[in-house]
Amino acid sequence: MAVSPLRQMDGVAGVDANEGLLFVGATNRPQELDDAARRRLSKRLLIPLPDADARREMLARGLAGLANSVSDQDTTDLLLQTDGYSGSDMAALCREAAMGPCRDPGFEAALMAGLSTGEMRPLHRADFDDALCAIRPSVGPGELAAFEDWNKSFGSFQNPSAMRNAGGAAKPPAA
Amino acid sequence: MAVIGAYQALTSLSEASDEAGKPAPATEYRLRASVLLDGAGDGAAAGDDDDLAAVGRALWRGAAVPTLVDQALLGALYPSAAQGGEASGGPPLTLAELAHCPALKRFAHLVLLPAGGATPPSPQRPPTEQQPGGCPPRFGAAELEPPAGARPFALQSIPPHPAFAGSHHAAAPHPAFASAANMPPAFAPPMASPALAPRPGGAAPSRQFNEFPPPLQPPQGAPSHAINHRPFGNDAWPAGGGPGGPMGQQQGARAGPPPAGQPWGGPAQREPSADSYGDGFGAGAYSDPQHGGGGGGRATAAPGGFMTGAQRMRIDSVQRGGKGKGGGRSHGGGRGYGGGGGGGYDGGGYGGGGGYGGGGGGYGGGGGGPPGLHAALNGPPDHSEGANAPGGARAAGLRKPFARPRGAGGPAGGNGAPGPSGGGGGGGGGGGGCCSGGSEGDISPDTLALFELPCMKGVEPRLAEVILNEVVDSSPGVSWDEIAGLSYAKQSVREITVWPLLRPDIFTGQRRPPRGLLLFGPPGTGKTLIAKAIATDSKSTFFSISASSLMSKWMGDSERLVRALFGVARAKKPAVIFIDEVGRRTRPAVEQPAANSTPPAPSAGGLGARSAARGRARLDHPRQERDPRPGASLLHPPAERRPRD
Repeated sequence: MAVSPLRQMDGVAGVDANEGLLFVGATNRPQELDDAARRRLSKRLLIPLPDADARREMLARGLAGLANSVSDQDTTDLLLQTDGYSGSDMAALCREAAMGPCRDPGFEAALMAGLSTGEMRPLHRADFDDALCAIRPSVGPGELAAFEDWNKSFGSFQNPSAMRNAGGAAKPPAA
Repeated sequence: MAVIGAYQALTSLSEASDEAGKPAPATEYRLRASVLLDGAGDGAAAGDDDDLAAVGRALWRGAAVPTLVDQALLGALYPSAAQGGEASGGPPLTLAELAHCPALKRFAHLVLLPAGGATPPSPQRPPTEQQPGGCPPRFGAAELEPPAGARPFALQSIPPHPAFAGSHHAAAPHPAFASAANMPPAFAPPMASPALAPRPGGAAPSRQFNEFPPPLQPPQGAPSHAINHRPFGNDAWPAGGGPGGPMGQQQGARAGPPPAGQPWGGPAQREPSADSYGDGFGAGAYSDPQHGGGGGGRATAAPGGFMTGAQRMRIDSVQRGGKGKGGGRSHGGGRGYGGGGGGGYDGGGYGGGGGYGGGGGGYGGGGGGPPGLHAALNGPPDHSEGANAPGGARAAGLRKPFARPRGAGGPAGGNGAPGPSGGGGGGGGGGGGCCSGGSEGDISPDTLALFELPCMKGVEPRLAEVILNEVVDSSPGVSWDEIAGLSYAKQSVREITVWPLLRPDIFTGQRRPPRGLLLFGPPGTGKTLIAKAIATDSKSTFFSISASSLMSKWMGDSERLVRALFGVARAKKPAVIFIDEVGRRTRPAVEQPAANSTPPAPSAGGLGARSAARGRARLDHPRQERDPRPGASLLHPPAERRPRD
């Protein structure tokens, strides 16, 4: 069992045979990687929590197709309140908020009476406020600091602020 | 359940007496057994499947010498058989002697199954009167040879129970057998025991297969099912051998289509079971992918004469499962035993990583002795041959390694020869071969096409099929735009992954891309999405493995699975191999087995040598040698050598 995918990577057939082969590893715990693994995963990229712009995009996608009355100001407030949320947290937040109308009093009766999809009320800011109470960030600040530390030691891109604020980086063309 | 209770009671007695330091005499066991069972003698009242299965398992427990408990139980169940043992008054009967006890024949189908297999006693029991050739295969050939000075228990002096009248101990001429017009002379039973003369008259109805026990031979004149199935005097009989019965041939055809058009034996080689009144067939294969994976898997051919529903079902399910799971190619041995009155084994092929099919040595059940089976199971991988059966029946087992990975059909298996003294000829062949061929046929052509490439050297087709079915994500379908934010990360990733994969001509030499990329960060931030986007954008094959799920599912095979993974990835490059939770230990580190304590050699040679050695070890101990930690070292060397941080 001492063989690993990474050892296969450079152990079996030489370098040329690996042309066209890319090994991508993902981990939430880079601290558990040993030096041999780090050597083989020579490019180590921190995927940070989404910044405000990314969260704004996620919110917009989460609300796409949902009738809502969330204003820009509401969105800005929400972005402040969701600092530290991960991408999946944001998705969960949007799902939780979308369930808000279903928790109105009398909804079940209306549902059983044949509620149509068009009769669902739009989402309001209050729904997000409720959802913010239900969905909490799943990554704590201490863990974030651990990632940052590991990134400083071993990461390929050591400036997290540069990554977060790199909105001006070359935008990849649309696929 | 009486037997189970008695077994438990006797076992507790045995333990108590052992603790007291005063072992109870054998007579004590016998007395208690007879009281406990209260006259459930000779198996007549012990028709409960569970009871018999319990005894069978008790015997299967693997002691070279059955315990006093076993003997007492058997004695109580089969007084007629036990008389010999008591009369001898000697030391405990050895299994070699017990193997010749007709009572034990009833458990042949239990004992022959792998211990873990624990096939529950199927409602459709093999009719024991047609299965006398079954001998426990776990014992060495030498053990199973009848000892030179066999005590009277060898039954020459004991009238066998009528239920086993068809066994080789007293080769009673079955009426139908004797009346076969063009019976090969070698099949003629050498003698007719008066004690076992066929019951006259035709009043008794033919028994159902699943009735148990069938105490009597099929009466004269009453056409048995088996006879209906196969007319005697079939011209297709090989010289001295019986042809496969209809079911056997049917199953053989179903189980073993030679994918490469390789013949797998004509009628003269296939299922030459020679039971006196049963359908001989040696086909039927049962390949357990897990056993196979460990090397030395098993393919159990159905017992001869008929195929039980359970076995057929098992075969079907295995074949279906082979497809669904991406190939259940048996590279293990097959073994089976065909023949009713003739009996005999269809010895299995035997193979490790390479995978071999093949019928091993069948041997005539009439005089059939087990060495053939044993030789077939444990013989050298490229040749096995049935040994001479004590009764004189000899059957050469044919086996040949099939040309992996071309998927050639397994060979047809043993070629039975008649047992001049026994009731039957050679055991049916074809089980192992059919198994191998049939299962190999489940490997999809796409997979087999990959094996044209040199990078697939050393990759098992079965695992390659697994990789293709479960690991390859054919259409990740994630575009960069679907990933919110992370623009800097995306750009960096594209630079080192997508561009080189698209334009390898530019990104060579010093610009060659890194071969490994680690995405780390808090959970839920899109690492997997990025990996999928890489594969989508670069139009690569996307291999996605999660350490916790897949590697634990293929526990024990992960080394070969990784080899297969890289083989397939090179065959389908450009490829992105994504391993989620890389470095994650799925179980706490355990003490390393000695075999794993060697430092991991970085060179390919060391790797191959080690794995080869381990492969050999697995062949010898297919179950025990597995590494108990699933997916543990997906990335790591053995845990205790890892630096703790």
